[in-house]
Amino acid sequence: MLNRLFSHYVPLSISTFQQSLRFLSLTSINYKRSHADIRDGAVREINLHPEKIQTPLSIDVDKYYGGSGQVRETDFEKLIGDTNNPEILQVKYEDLPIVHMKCTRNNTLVDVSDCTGQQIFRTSCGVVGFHNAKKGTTTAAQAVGIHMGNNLLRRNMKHVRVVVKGTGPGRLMAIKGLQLAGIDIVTITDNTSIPTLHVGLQRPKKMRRV
Amino acid sequence: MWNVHSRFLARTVWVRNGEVDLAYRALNRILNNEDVFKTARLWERYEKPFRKRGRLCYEKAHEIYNNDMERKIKFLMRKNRVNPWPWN
Repeated sequence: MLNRLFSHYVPLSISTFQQSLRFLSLTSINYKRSHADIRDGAVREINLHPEKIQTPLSIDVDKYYGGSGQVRETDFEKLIGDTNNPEILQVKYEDLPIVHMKCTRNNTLVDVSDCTGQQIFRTSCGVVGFHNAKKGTTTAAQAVGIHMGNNLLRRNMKHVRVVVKGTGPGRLMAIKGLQLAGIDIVTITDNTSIPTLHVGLQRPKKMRRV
Repeated sequence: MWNVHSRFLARTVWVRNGEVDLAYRALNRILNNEDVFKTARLWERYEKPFRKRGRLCYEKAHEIYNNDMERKIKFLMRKNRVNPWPWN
């Protein structure tokens, strides 16, 4: 009977007393025909979905969904300013100026407005000195950001919140240009227009065939 | 709550320690997960109904193929183990 149970194993001689003991130990085990309980074998651990290592350039997005990365109603009263310098007044978040950036395929338009929404200043790639197709590039966007940054510093507005609209090449580089000029960006919001279906929806233009 | 500020409640991201790159990347990742750029690209130009039908069929077929392939790979990976009978 024992031989039939372990017939697929290597046939062990049952002559000695020691080996009979070994058989006794084997009978006590509940043998399951699964890869986990194979004798003298091991399952190689394979990670089909390995954990993402937090590199300096990667970030936990889940924290932003519900954690401290998201803006809440209580955050509008948050004070922003240089904590080291007590002379400079600390401003509430809702009183910060807003920088709007419209990033289209051929151009990037940037303008600054008050907390209420009144426009103060406006630039674009054409103002900085680019023409035609070169306006729709990343270098032009960076130049626009720097130009805007210098103007803001002249008006003594160091802390700013940014609103980005549209998908275009100047989406990131305009913000970088602002940072290079030396401005403290507090938040970045996205205001790309997603058309919702309603009665008065204007049908967009037909497809471009080149 | 002012109307000017209500649009800062959604799709906003704080910038921590002056790291604008990370904040921008996080924002982009969130927007991609919610297919914001996809819909904006689709509605840029009008998509005629015959093209829309073709796109939906392709997407469904793509999803079915991907799911079946994942199932197959999972099943076949069960055989990827150390040989339990190396003497054979």
